[in-house]
Amino acid sequence: MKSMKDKFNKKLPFKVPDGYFDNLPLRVQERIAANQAQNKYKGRWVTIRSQLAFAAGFAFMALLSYLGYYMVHPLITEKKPIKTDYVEIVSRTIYEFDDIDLFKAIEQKKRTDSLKEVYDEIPHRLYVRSSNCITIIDEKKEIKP
Amino acid sequence: MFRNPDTKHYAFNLLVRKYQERLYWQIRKIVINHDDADDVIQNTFLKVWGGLDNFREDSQLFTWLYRIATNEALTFLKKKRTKLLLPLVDVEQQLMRSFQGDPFIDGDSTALKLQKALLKLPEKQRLVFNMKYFEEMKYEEISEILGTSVGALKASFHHAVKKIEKFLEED
Repeated sequence: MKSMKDKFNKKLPFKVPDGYFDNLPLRVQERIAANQAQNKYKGRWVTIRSQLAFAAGFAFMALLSYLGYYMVHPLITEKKPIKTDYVEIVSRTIYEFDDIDLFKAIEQKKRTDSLKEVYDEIPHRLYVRSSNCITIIDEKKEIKP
Repeated sequence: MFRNPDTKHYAFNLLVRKYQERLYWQIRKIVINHDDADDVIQNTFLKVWGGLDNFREDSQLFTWLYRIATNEALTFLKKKRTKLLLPLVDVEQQLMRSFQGDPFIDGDSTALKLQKALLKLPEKQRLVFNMKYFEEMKYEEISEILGTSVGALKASFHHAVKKIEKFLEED
């Protein structure tokens, strides 16, 4: 150890640029100031970010619960009136009609119903008539020889 | 002075002026290159500034500063290793190469031979040797900075001296 000390004299082979240690405190102060400004901005951003994250999380949960609810209870687009509704409709609109209107409506309904019956009957009658004609022709053929 | 917001900047400026050289040389011996040492010392003082409020006065100020500087320098080397995806040996090789290209290194001195021999040591032994041989620190102080027992430090220093002597004989 002693010989090593004598040989190298604890000198280092390193150098620094001229005036390096005179300027270093100033550069350190500048770095600290820049860092503080950056931290201030970062701090603000962290606060905003956490609030945004909270709002987004809340909105997501609300959306999930909304979707979940309507998956369990699907939307009913056509609502069938129940018995009480008819009663309500009739009681609400009963004064808008008089007897003549009612009579006319029944007459109209009868007319359309009877016409419909006739239209339904025509093909059947035609079929019976045509089949009768064919039978008569066949009978006459048999008599004629 | 550090606790008072009005005098904090002034006190910190005094601290930087007082300890900058000793801390710089400690860092420089670990990272070798001047530009890297410059980065590390600035980061060290940034950490010191940030930690001043939490500094417990039961530990000596210089020991605390030295510990931060050493940790910053070691972290810098670790980052360099991770960044370049290099194993430990290759980083030492890279540090060895910086002896040639750095204009702030005296290329022909005998002290350079010692530094080159030091780079062949394991990291912990190099640290202990630097602190004991160049800084002439007590084992108790080194123990507080590195968090290693005095016995282990003595053994590390002993091994380091033996290896360096061997390297120098071979050279």
